[in-house]
Amino acid sequence: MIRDKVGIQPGGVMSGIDDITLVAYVDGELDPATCAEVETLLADSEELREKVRGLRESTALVRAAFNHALYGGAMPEFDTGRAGIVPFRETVAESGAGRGDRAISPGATGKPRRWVWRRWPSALPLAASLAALVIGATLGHYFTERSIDSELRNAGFILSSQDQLAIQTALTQGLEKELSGTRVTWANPDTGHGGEIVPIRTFQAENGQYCREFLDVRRITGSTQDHGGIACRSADGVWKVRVRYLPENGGV
Amino acid sequence: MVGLLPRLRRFAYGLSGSLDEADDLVQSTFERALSHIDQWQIGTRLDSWMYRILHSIRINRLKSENLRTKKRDDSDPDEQIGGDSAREIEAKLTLEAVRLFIWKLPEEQRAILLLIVVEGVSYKEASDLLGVPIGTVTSRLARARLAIKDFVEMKGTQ
Repeated sequence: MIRDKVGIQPGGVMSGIDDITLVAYVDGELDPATCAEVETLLADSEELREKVRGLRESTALVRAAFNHALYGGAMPEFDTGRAGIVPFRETVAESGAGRGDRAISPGATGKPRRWVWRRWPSALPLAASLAALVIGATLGHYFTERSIDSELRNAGFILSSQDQLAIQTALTQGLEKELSGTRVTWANPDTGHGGEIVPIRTFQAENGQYCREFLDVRRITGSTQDHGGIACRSADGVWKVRVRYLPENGGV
Repeated sequence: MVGLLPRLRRFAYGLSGSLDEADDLVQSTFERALSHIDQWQIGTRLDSWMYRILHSIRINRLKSENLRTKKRDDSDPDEQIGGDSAREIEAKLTLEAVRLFIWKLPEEQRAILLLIVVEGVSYKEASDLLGVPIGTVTSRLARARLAIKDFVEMKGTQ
């Protein structure tokens, strides 16, 4: 596509490809012939492959970096009265209000954040249908603990046992000790993975157990996967995850 | 048109570094788009046209702002790195570091980077939309991408 503008430079073997071509290759913007040439050079050079890998990885980060701006924000004013438009601004506090939980204080800083849980449209009906969950019914796109793990694995989210331990620790701490809206972060320096657990709200199930809905956000080699879940506390103080579910749009 | 709002907001946020400023840019973009809708050619892409409007509003604001002061809007508390405890900084997302790095890039590189990488606009479209030659697009893009790659790798080895 941009074959007239970029190309393989004649000359040194290592510097055989200029950065512009390499970036265009990563973006899929090269015409097939140039693309094939690049791939030939790549096959011969570990250094080049490493560079492409680095470009791809950092590109994935850039791609994801601004996504939270997709959610939230005011509608353009002249549109607010129009029928059929869902308001974009919906805060944690709003969705958690009046549910027997304390006012949710979003974020550790205590400053109001424009966290928007529009991605979690199932949250409210979910709490309402907890009775059904407690007796063990599985619904639609909800997952059991095991099946969400395979979901995540399929998406490339492979966790080490240390990661899993760190998540479990954060989960236990968050559920047992933290107010809804508080983030409990975990990080594993060995794998570079990290994430956070955020309790969203608390309620009592029909059998008298206390249950909490939570978010589980995992950041694994540059991509982010978040999902929700509900855990209930047994009489002996053990939090057991009853259900996990993916956001309806499939995540970030 | 309203369906474009989230993406326009993301682009505006990427350009300006502030969600408030982004909302303001989006609002102005919609106002201008609606009042100039006759200038949109049916058959061309509405999203490109609106990105273009947003970008030109942004550039005009930068120009008039530069006349007054060189102050940068860091008013969004979510985006500030200062004032956090050490633990929080440690736990900060790589994504946040990437954002901060991108906001330090020259405006021209940033606009191209955001359009192509984040918004998925093609090189050709970006060139048309920004009114710069495609050779300029590719070289600025490569410069930004290599800088980010080096930055990410440097962070990764820390």
